Amino acid sequence: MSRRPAHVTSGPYAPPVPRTTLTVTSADGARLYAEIHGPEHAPAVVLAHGWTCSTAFWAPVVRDLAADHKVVVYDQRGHGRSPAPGPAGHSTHALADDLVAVLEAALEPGERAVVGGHSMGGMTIMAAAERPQLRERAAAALLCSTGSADLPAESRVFALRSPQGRRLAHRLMLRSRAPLGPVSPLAKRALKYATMGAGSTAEQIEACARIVHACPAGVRARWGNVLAGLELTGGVSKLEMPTAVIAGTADRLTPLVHARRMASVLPDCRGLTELPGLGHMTPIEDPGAVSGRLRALVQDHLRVPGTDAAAAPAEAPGGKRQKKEKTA
Amino acid sequence: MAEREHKHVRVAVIGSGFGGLGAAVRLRRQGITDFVVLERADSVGGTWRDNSYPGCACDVPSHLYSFSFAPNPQWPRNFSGQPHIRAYLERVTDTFGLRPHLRFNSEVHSLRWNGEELHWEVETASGPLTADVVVSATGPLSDPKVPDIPGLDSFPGKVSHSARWDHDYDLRGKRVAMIGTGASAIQIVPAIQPDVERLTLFQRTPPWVLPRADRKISAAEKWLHTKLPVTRAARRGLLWGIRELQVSAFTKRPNELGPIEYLAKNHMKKAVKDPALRAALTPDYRIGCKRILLSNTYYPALAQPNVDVVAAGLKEVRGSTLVGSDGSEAEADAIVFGTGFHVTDMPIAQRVTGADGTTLAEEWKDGMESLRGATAAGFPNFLTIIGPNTGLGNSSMILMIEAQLNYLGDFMRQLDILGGKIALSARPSAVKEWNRKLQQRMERTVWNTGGCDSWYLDANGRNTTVWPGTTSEFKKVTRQVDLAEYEVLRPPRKPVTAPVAAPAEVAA
Repeated sequence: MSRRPAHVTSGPYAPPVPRTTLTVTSADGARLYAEIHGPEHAPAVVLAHGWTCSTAFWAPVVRDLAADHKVVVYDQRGHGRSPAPGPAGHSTHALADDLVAVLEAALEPGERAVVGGHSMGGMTIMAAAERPQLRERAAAALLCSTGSADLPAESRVFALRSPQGRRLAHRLMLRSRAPLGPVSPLAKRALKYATMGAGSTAEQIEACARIVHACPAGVRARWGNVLAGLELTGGVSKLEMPTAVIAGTADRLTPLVHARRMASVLPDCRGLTELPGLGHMTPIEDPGAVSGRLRALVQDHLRVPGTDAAAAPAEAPGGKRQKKEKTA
Repeated sequence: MAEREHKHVRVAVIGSGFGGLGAAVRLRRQGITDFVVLERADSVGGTWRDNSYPGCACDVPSHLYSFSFAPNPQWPRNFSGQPHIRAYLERVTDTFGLRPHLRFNSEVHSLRWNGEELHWEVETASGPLTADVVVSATGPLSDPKVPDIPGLDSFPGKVSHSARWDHDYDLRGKRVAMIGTGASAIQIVPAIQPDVERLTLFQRTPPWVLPRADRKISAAEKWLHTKLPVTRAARRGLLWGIRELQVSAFTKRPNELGPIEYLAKNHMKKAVKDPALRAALTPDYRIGCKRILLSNTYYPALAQPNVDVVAAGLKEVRGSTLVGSDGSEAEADAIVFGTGFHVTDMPIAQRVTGADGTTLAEEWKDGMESLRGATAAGFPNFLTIIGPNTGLGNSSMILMIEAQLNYLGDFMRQLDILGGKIALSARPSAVKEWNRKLQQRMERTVWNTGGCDSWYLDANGRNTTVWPGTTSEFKKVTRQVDLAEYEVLRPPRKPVTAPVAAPAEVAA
């Protein structure tokens, strides 16, 4: 894992130090970087980040949950510290393989978790809907600022009137290999317009920009291409565990209509939370709302064998385990 | 299920007119071949098979009144007659290989939703079957409406309806009473006037009639349209574009229609010289409120000496004497009803029983209500072609049908994507919202403000038939099925886990 992570290093949006890191091998041999935060025997939460993001994206949520949850985060292939696969390795199928591999590697045998995904991470969960490992492991799921199909036509980054025009413009945007360049004020403004609500703070924008700009243009374009042709509504329809949906009402990338459709199609939908005025980056824009929803799902659906909700906080976060794999 | 052989199909289409055949083509193009087209008669054509009265023709130019996917460079006239339109539909049936799907003499007696199996149980005149999806393309102009006239039973002569013309009955030398002045009647009157001894026209409300730019399409044009398809497409595009531009006058600014009234009045004045007759034939409502009729021969026929216009509806029949509501009397040997169809009370609705055990007619007793003209709350996997609020006052219904076929296509696609045994049922909230917006837009349209009662309005005065916008707008809003507007129904789980009702919470 060679690349140096470019994320903010102080404040609430800086990634906390994990208890353990591991390298997970996916079905096609791809290597994935994963982190485990929080006490070992606490109820588990597994989080998958979105397009052009990385584990650092979950920082504020992890900070909140890690006190009394075992939180697993991983870098989707090509993002953060996970190396990019060959061109054939970019598909929703591969995303599902990766999630399943992480669940198997990071959780104890028989251990269950609440699985949350933001944007492409939500699509990862949808893509894995029919995997027996997910059905076994996931006690509940959270789909956060995501969509299952028709992204180019529904997005409102380019607010063209005609659906054909929007489809074309957003396809070009998703597949673009243009470098984003340094994190400049202009770049931040553009990112804020496209992905964040009007009320997001400079700190939040800075954190997002650093993460997004760290994603190589080739990886961005190849995954963008997958997003442009997405069709995962069938997965949503087969996501049988209790599932909650969260979306910002001012999301331009995956507008609220997607959340409503998913809530309509989910077999066991546990509510659609609309966050007024927020954009696409909900876990950074309002970490409390996202972690609160995850907490509630843990409370309602995840019973840790042998322990009550008050999991033994014997091991302080950061306490190193022997199990740790070398990740140099 | 035991004793009778039970046939199951993916889709059952009811009707084989423009709507039903269009649906069949669309399904085949989407790779769905497991479907049947149920037809009560013994040939295709629907309205264009049933209506064969003398002079029957379409009042929309043929190059626009045809499927975009089945162009016909050989249309003989601008406004082709019924035989040509019917032949066109026969040809479409052959070209697209629809014959194997047709089930003639299979009138649908009942449709019942089975919530356990998630399919429709269809009883037809040719036996029962089940279907995952039902497409009702029964058409608004299919079941003739004959008013309940006291004493009609005592009439000794021939009684018929425009849509059920008896070609064996000879009208020559007869005294004929024509009831109604709608689109059919104004075509029948000039067609039979030269033959009959006396023609009495009972007119409750006079229509606005504009000249019809009808002519033979020349051999040169046909040749050009065949050799250079783009010319045919351009012709269609022009016909379409003109009509799209007219829409806003109908839907937003009825006052702009004034000059058209002037044209219509002039059109009448040219043919009718008698001031009393002119007065009787001049409508007192805004043009467009009722369907605008096109004819060059109607007014000249009325001016003939063997025609009487009674400016009143038919009140009762005493033997062979017809009494108008103004007290006038007329003798007749035959009565022809040009009184239209059951439009706002779709007859198939009585035969469809939905998920709650009520019929569509019961659900629609206060007026038809659908989602995007296609689906109704409580009737899963049931789509109507030309459903509520999809009619047009000025353009080709084929455009609307094709938009609805797009919706049908996406509906089938979504079912396939969702996969497994599944049904989509329109959410009542979505249906309500759609109709609230529709009716709000309807308030200022000429159909609601023009000062007339028309077949567009239902018994409560609500316009549940016309689309208050352009055809391109309708095409846009029916391009895709929005799953947020639908509930996904899955087969009830057999034993154990009772699913916990999950109230959709919207947290701040």
